[in-house]
Amino acid sequence: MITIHYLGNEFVEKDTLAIKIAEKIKDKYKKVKFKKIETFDDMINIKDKYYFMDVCEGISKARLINDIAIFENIRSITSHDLDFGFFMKLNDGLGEINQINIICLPEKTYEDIEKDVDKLIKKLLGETKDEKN
Amino acid sequence: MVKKIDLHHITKIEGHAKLYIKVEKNEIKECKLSSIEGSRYFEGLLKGKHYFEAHEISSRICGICSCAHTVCAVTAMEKGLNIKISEQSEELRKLLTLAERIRSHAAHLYFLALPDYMGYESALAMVSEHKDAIKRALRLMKIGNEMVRVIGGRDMHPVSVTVGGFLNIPKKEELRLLGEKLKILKTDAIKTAELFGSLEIPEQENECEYFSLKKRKEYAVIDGMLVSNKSKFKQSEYLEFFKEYHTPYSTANFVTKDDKSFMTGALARFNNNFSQLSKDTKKAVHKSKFKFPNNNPFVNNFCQAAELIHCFDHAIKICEKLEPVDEKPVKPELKACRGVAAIEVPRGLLFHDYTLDKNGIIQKANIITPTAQNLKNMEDNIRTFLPSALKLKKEEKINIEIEKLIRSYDPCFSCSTHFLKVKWNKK
Repeated sequence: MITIHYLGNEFVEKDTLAIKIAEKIKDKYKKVKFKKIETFDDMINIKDKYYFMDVCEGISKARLINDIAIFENIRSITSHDLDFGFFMKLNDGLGEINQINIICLPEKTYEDIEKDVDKLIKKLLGETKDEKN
Repeated sequence: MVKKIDLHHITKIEGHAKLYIKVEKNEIKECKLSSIEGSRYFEGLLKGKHYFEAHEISSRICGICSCAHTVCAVTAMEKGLNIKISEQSEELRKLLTLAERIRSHAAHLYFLALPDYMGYESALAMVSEHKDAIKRALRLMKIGNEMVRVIGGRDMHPVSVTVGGFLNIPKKEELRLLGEKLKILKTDAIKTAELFGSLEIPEQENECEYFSLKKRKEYAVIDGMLVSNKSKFKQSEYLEFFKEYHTPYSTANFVTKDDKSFMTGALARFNNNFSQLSKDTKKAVHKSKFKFPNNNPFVNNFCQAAELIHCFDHAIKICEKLEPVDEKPVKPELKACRGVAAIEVPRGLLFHDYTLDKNGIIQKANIITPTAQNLKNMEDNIRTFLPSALKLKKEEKINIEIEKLIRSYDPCFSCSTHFLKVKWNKK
């Protein structure tokens, strides 16, 4: 069983896709649980393997990212800037992350988005199976 | 030679600010610190809303200080409508305010201020070599969040607090459990004070009035007289003493008293209320090199660190003693009125001032955040600090020292209304 944590803001249209997709597919998988990240604690309590789904700027189709370094370091750190990327990198620095999987969604939906997300989830489940074997 | 320092984006503070300094023949000709964020218009948004909506709307001014705005708004309404809340509600609101201060101080101290003193660009750059400190910060933030969740109903923008009291009262077991957790984690607060007490800080003398609340019985949190080393007046009289004004170069207002800048925040609270700090807080201060009253704004960060111990002690006391009973919020009898409240929040004094008509509709709202009050003082301090900073000669080092000074105030420009692109022009 894996838990995919998703992020988003219902009130900002371009940041809603992860929420909409998660709500739509949440009952589709036996081995996948979806949980919305609501708070700082939700974020820092996740250990070892990270499974996330979030909207990313600059992409047009859903894709899987496994490299934490792709998240831009914001030099201007304020408490308001202590965001997803910051805490992930902080946890990585603390040695809390062994594997990171982020399903990145574009800001705008497209016809086959659910099929693409399904392929990415199956890939994640496959990797989990491989590990168990 | 004319030297211009243009700090377009001040980093590691809340929100966005810029600094413009012009030096001519070693003389500072101009020094302008300004907020460059868009105006928030919260006071305008509140006009025409019901008295019971102000705390929910104003809490959105800031995610970091949402509890502070909530508590201050309901308190102002209660004062205007002559509502006397229960002692239980008062204690729970103190607990909520202390909880927010714990998480805010921890975040600012470890993630924003400490990297400056440890020689790192950011907390991320120091994490691999200072894992214990970062883990301590996270534990402190987590307990602050948990407290807010138990008392306020959720991590941010609390939903339990309402005009007249609370909509949901935490259970006795929840409070006792929080008390037990706080007792265990108090060591983290003590270690934070030890760490910040050991840091080398620049010499700086800032002779000004230091404003805070003062109460006879305890280290003031959500009530008290407005006091400084020179003044004492009621909260309702604040506009007779404080002048809020606008400048063309800043979207945030400035606040002065007698046309002079003043400081509010943890340093002001220590200067005015030192004797009321908890025994263990005083012990931590006595172990440090700092003496109070103190006029060095850089000491504010140490005060925040030591204040964590006091927040733990005060919170433990409430969690252990309070015997929660179910009670409904006190219902107001509506009337045309004006209510003013000032409370102590992480960065200093927060004012909410509302005028209601006979139907409880907000006619006028005035909110003054601590950063707006400190903005002029920051600007004045940069001016006096600059001659010693300029001796460092290297532009990068000068900028770091100025930023350290600004960050010692723990400013939140988002509320009063980032960095750092530095531009030097030499003629």
